Amino acid sequence: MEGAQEELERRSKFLKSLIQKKKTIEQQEQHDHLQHNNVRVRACDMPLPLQNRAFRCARDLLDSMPSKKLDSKRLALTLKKEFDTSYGPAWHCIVGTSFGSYVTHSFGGFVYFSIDKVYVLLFKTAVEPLDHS
Amino acid sequence: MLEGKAVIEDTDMPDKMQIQAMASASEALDLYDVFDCTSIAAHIKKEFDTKYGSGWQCVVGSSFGCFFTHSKGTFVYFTLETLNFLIFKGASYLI
Repeated sequence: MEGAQEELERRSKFLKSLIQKKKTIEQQEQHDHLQHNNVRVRACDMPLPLQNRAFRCARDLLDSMPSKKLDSKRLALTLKKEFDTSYGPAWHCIVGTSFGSYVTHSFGGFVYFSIDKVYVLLFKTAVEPLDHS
Repeated sequence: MLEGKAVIEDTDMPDKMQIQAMASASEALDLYDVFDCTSIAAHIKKEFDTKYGSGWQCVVGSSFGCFFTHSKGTFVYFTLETLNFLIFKGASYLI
């Protein structure tokens, strides 16, 4: 019985180390990805796939803007519409170089990041039925 | 003490609520430095959550653009001194 217990412990440790290695690799890949796109996450409560979607969308649009001039409204509009379409209403997006905010957001629907020299706040609010009156 | 006068840029909010928005902003500017946009936004949002129910959002700053979906009658954008203020309530819809 002791032999079996030792074997179980050994396997348990092995599995834990595998999980940890996988996490480390994933984190490194994410870090490399962010570095490559000049993205820095400032605050976040959002699944990784959605984060990456936001970063890619922002990166693509910024790269496509003529002479790299920032168009805050266009970037905000693009991100909001993409997320409303892909992940359901209602998303809100603020883009700029100088602002502060205070918001209430849905669980898992919040990211605040910088890309190049611009800051982006993207968050989701619950959509609730209006009271009938 | 309010030094400058607030200028409404765009709104679909009832007049009384607009006045409350500008009053809250003025209050916040008395309490916090003009560079502390986050505290100013927090003050205003909390005031609106208390007075008009939860779910309000507030953005304060000198350089930003944004797109959002708001409930009917709950949106105001104005300037006061050197700052721009955006206050709105998250979307609701009729089922």
